[in-house]
Amino acid sequence: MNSYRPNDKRGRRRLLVATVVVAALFLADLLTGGAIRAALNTVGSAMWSATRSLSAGVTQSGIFSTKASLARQNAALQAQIAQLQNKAAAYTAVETENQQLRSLVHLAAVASGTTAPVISSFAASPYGTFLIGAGSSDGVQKGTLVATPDGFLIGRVADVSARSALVVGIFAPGQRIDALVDAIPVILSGRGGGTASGEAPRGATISVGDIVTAPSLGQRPIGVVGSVQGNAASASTKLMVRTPVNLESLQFVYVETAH
Amino acid sequence: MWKPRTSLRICLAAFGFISAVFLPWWVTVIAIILLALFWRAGEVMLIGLLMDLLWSPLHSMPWFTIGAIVAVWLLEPLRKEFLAG
Repeated sequence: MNSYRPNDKRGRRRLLVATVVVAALFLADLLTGGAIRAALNTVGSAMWSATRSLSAGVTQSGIFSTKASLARQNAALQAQIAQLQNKAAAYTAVETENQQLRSLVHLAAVASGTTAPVISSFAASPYGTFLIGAGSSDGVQKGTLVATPDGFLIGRVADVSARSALVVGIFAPGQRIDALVDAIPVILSGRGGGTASGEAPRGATISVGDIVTAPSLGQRPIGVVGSVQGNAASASTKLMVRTPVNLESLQFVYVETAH
Repeated sequence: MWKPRTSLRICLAAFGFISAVFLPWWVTVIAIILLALFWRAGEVMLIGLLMDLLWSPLHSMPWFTIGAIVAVWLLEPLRKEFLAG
């Protein structure tokens, strides 16, 4: 007996219902001004923060490197050493966090704003976006600029909820920005991952490491030249620009409030 | 007790949801393609929607949702070959 045809129709109907449900969910989110995504962002950022704390605790406790030595000692000394390692790991984490926050203090002299923790992965987003743990309750508004501790602009706030905000990277895929490299105008196209490409006129004297600024963002620095390709025979000089800091290592950013 | 194929689908779907939050986006794409290729998996569209709700600005085009829907329906003829075979 061939029950394939009724099963097939039932399966296709279920798939159609699933398609309609997904479309309805998306429309509901749109009509409620992002209420569903705000809730999901809260859950996602909590998961991300918990995972990062756990992995930091495991890697900094030295449990794997001292496991062999702990096994050789008696139970009382093992418990004592584990306790001391946990305390040292907590101190190191707080010290690292303190150093990062101190590096952000000088930015307050340049522009008013607030420090915000990065609460998501940079690599997970296909749109070059990331989440920060500051929202409308902290004075963050849509369109405000986001900078690294060194003062390099890395993004702009796209969506804001009460306690978090979604930032679109300056070098997100599809983003284009007018830039200057040593007074030479360049149009940069974002490639994601904190990198962008552009072309400069033939013969432009651009070197690796040159600071790239954005006239539309108050001549603020947005990156450094990572590589230069071109010779006298080519029609233009190809540039690769990158953010000077590894985005994945960023724990805190500075969010400038709108003027 | 679930069949092995069903267990595999559940694991792959769970992996897809988790990868949407933690892992590089191309890992999620691989999970979506595998699910859409071997099963008539409605959860693929939910994974795509999750990616857009998490990472896409509010009034932007939901490319991942659209891509997931296209993947599920586009691979339907191929899946029918697997089911009929």
